[in-house]
Amino acid sequence: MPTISVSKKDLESLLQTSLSLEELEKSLQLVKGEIKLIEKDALRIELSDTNRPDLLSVEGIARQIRREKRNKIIKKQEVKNEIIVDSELKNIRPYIGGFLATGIPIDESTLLALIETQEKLSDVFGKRRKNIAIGVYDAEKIEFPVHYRAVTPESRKFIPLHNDPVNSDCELNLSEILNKHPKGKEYKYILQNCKKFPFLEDNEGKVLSFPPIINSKLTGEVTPGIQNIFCEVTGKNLSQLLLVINILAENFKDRGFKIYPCLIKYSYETDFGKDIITPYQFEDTSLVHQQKFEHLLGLKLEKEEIKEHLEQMGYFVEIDKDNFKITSPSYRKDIMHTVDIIEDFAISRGYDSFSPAPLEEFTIGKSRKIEKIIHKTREIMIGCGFVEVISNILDSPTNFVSNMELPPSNIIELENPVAESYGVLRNSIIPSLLQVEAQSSKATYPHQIFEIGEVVCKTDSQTAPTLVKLAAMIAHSNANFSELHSFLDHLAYYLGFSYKLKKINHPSFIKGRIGNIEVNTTPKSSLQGEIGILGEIHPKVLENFKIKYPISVFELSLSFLNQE
Amino acid sequence: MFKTSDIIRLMKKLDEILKELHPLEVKVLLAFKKKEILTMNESMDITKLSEGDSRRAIGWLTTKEIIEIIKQDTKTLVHLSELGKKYLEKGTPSKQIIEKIKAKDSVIIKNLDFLEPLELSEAIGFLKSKGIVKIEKGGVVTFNDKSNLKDVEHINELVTKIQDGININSLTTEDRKIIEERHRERGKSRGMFEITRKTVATFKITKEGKQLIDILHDKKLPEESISQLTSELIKSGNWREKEFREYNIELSPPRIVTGKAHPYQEFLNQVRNKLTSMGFCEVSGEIVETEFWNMDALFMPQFHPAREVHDVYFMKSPKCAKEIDSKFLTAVAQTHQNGGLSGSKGWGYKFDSNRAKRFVLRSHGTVLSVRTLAKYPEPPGKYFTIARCFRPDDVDATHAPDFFQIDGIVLANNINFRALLGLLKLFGTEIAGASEIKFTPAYFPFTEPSVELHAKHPKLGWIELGGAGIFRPEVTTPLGVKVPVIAWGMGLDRMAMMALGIHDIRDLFSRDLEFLRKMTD
Repeated sequence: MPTISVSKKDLESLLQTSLSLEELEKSLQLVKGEIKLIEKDALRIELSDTNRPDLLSVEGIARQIRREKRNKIIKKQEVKNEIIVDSELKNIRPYIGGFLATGIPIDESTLLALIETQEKLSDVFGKRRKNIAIGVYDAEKIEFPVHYRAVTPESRKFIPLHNDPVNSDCELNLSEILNKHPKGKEYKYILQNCKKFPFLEDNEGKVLSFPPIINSKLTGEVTPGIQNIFCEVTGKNLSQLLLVINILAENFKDRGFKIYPCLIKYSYETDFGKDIITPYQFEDTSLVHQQKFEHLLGLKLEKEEIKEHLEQMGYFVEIDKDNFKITSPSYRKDIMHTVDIIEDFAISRGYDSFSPAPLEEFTIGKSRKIEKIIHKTREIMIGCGFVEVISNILDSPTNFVSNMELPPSNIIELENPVAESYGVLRNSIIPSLLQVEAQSSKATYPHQIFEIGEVVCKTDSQTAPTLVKLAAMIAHSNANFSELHSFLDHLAYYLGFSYKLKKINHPSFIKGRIGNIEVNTTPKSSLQGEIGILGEIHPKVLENFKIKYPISVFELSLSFLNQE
Repeated sequence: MFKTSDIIRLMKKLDEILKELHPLEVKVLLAFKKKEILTMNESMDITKLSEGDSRRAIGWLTTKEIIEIIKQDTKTLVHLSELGKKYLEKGTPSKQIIEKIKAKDSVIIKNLDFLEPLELSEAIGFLKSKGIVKIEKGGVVTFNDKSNLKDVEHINELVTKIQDGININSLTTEDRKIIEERHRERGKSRGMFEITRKTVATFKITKEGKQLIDILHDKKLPEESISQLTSELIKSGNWREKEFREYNIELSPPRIVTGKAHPYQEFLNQVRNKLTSMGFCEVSGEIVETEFWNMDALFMPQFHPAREVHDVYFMKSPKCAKEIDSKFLTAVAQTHQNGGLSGSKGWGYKFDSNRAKRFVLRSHGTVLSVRTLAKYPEPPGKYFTIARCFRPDDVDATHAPDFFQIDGIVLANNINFRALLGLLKLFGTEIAGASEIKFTPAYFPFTEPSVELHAKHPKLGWIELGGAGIFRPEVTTPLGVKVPVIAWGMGLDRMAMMALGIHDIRDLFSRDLEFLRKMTD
């Protein structure tokens, strides 16, 4: 889940009111946010909605908390400035958008918030600048139209921002930037296999930036006090890019800036045409019947109430008889279905305002089929004096393979374990019980333990069934096969299956003291087959686990006995 | 001077004592014949009894004042805990931090993540309190005053010194204090030292004891009096000629070990019973799932960040399922691409059917809810599952390698948001036993509206119990479900920890048999 850092003072100035911690926490419900850390003025807010990039900024959060009606932006926009796109960019980094924000000098807190937003939108939403990269410039220094070009790495050089302090005024060409500049090294993966690189310069050839890597020091150094800002976004997904442009413009607008759109002139077709004005007016409109609100939420509602709340959440609403014509704000693209709009209404109205209703449907409950045999088995084992154990299913290959003297082929290994000790899925419970014994040498003897739990078998290259198994272990100075055999016999009697033991070879057990448990009949079926093993653990295995007492174990599949 | 009557009374009393003597006591008592003062070990050399038997017999004799304790030395031994042994190898966390600072004059706290968070905060706290380090902006740790560095060295020397165990009396007061602050107590803090106490007592025979030895000589040994009534004695009727030794019934009995249910399993069964009593049917499924059911069917787009390696486990082999039921695959793929028949716009990307087949470890119990829906259950229906789930989190006091979740659905014609809140309220009170609950908005890719359920805990305040919502039409429509469906899910480990009074999640899966025997619910 994304988290963002915001200044409480800045948030309060955008909200034009101060909030107690409790009020703030409650307000943050409107953005599905939670305060994770407070350090003086700095708040870290975790946002659970991964689909709302408009909330990845202090302005966006404030906008949603303020809940004020917004005016629909007038459609006709005067466009003075243009960005001209080179045809060769189509296969490199095809899209760009931008706008100017002017009117008031940019201050320190706006700048800090802008940097945070820029980082979240390009790194979190834009997948480490691959899909979205944002540049901000001093517009005074730029002569429009701006040209978005594809250039060869050696054909351009400029002084990048955040250059190595020793050579801070040293010009670098584009491939030098990728290899020497910290941002170049970090993001050069995006331009792998490109023969030409994206490049942004103004009409006089002054360098703006080398997107998505770094701005030039000449135009791209933004400091407090600058009055005219040019903001640009490049990327690979045009719809995402337009959304980001809209969000950034909305953020500037909320701080009192005036926005001047740019006209982007492509020489190739895009999903949004060849000439695109940014910020872009999405017209995402849905027609929703009043009953849809009432059915989903489970209560009668007034039209005005619905309209009022949706408008507070940023929508534009027109009532047409029993239908609502609802247009999403241009900074949101997450509305996929009417249920999304209805939830926003419910959030604005407040979840507390809905009285919980009882479940009226009558149904008959029951536990899963295998629980019956699990329950019976547990009772028998506890009655036999065994202590129940619960182990994890992820365990280490050492315990399940090498310590058991087994080949690794029968166990499922994880591709991305967090640690070697949780690298395999257990296929047997026996090694889990041996680990209990290994850690319990100080516990009063005799030891009798059992576990009923899931294991995962590796049957072939395309299946990995889960089975429920029972394993039991005895350990004390005279523990042996025959003692545990009696318990197995006892269990078989009460579970109602008959069996015989058939000698097998098994590297974990003493030769001649290990057998398959072969079922002849079960109470539910005439299925026959091997359902488990009983034997005395080989001293070599005991040594591997550093166990000092003899051990006998049995394991059998309850899933098998449960079959009909 | 004794009057005859006194002597008779005394003899009578001794006689009674004699009658109660257990054969083990007689053996130990006779060991004091040659030497009046003995330790337990010395008596064992004479009697050849086991330690357990000797301990019991000596205990009994002492309470009867036949022998008395004249000296008791408590030996307190200190040795290293598992953690301590680790530090012996690597140095204590403070030392490890110091070494890092020494190497580069400073270190950023972030780069000390080889230490566990708890270790790290304790060590930094210690170093700061000693004034050895200071922390600057950005979490940069540098030396402040090196004069106290010897304190860190000292602790490390101590760790080396006691590696084989040592009597605490041989240590200085200062060292003892260090140890006391850092020793491990069961189920509590994870200290580096362990303290065990061993008592060595010396016993002396009392005056009465000596007289008893004399009587024992004159009389027949009470070994001939009956200790255990046997079946033979009853059958033969010979018990009539025997005398029964009287028991001292106040003595504590020897320990027995028994079978025992695991309290966590009992907790899970209680939850299961609650759910079935509320009309829910239990379902279960496979641990190894396909991405299709674990994510695609839940309308999580294939580019969703929570589908990457740091949020879900993949397997080396088997890697992919043979196939996914094509009617579901096609409908789900369409819904992702353009909304299909669900009335949604969809995510607008090209769905990869091969990726849908890829195996993952079930990362949430909601999988079983969609799998249940895919079987066209007749509404109304209520279903639940208790499922082990797997996510690649580092294992610590709050994260186990695998964990239990309870998930469920309710499908019916008249399901709505208020019914969802009603159900959650019932869970809060019935399952978690909360007196006060609240709902907050939440986000899940598969439900809308989505809710988080919080309950007020008497000590911990508001805690999150679980998430819920009404399945998005993008989830239900491709599966052919025509009615609305409530979906809910809760983590069970944390609830169980609160119910069982456990503070470390790893204790739910403990491998310490003594701990398991003592665990209560």
